[in-house]
Amino acid sequence: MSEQQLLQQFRQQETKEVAFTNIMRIHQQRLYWHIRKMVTFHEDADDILQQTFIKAWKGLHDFRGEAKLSTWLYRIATNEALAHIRQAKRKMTDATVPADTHTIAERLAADPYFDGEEVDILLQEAVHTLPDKQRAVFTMRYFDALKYEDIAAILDTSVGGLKANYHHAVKKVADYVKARLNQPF
Amino acid sequence: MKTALHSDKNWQQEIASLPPLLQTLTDRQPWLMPDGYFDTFPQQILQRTNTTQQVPQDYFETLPDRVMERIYLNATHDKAIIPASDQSITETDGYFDQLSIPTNSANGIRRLWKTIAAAAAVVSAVIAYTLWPAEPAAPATLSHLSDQEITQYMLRYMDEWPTEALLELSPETPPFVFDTTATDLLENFLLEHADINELQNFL
Repeated sequence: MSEQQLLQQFRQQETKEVAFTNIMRIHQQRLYWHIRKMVTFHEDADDILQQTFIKAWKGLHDFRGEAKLSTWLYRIATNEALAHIRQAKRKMTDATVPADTHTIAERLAADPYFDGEEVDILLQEAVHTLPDKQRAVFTMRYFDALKYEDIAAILDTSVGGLKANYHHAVKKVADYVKARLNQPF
Repeated sequence: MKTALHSDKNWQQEIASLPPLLQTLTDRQPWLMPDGYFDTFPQQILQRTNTTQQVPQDYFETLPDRVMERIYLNATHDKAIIPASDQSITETDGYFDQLSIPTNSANGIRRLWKTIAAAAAVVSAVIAYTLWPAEPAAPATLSHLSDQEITQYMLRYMDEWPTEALLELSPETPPFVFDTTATDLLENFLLEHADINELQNFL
């Protein structure tokens, strides 16, 4: 079934839930992994993915198809993930909120949904040090292999700026891992 | 998760130009997730969209009535602890006419309240005459009872009196306003159920 047919089904009350279920089944895995690599932890990714689809449910009636549905969903997911990251950072600097003093490495070591080695943990730590936009660009390009044009559409920015962002991010991540890894890099 | 995008030549060339360790890290999969996560995910979302977005049919149409009913029932529940000296209890003109309460029991209580309030001004003289017909001095005291005093007394002890008897005080048909029959009923009711000494002390 085409994207257009799914959207038509969604606009009819009697087929709305079936259409939306199909939309979720088509996009849930790619969106989950995109979010998961931005925020690292399954619980956070699950929260954000749910929020993403709830926003999609509310907004899909107004979706007019100027962009691909996948781009639109990626945009929601990325914005939700960035909002989550910013909120977490605010909590870290807000003295009135009890801060999670555990490092990324400590949390990953205790995480039942992470089975990586030292280098995997270092990579995650490095990603967490990136500024928000670089983190989003690095995740979409390095992990998800999205085209620059698609990333530009999701983030509503220029391809040239994105490439610069990506190369800055790659250098920071490489430097971070190299400085901490106990083996030749 | 590898997709068709990972076979894009431009992406592969770009990855090949990175430091060696970063080239290999894209292939690693240290990530796990709960078993069956994606199988149940759509159903979870549909449940959340149903509970967060929808309300029962006619919810907003009936909301004002349900709120007013709760306010009224709370008020009738609280009446037993209203201090006898509280003189601030008055009925705003037409308040109970505007109040819409859908349940039969609430309607009965509403009618009763209205009857008591409306009858209070008249019944004090009736009580006085009935209780002290041969003693002119005593009726003079009771004849000065205010509407509020009679009403407060009734409300103060309402919980201790039989509900069925109380409901009989209320006219069954609209507009539920006071009439002579209601006055007689209230008089008879007080004679039957009220403690005369308590009534005198209370007033």
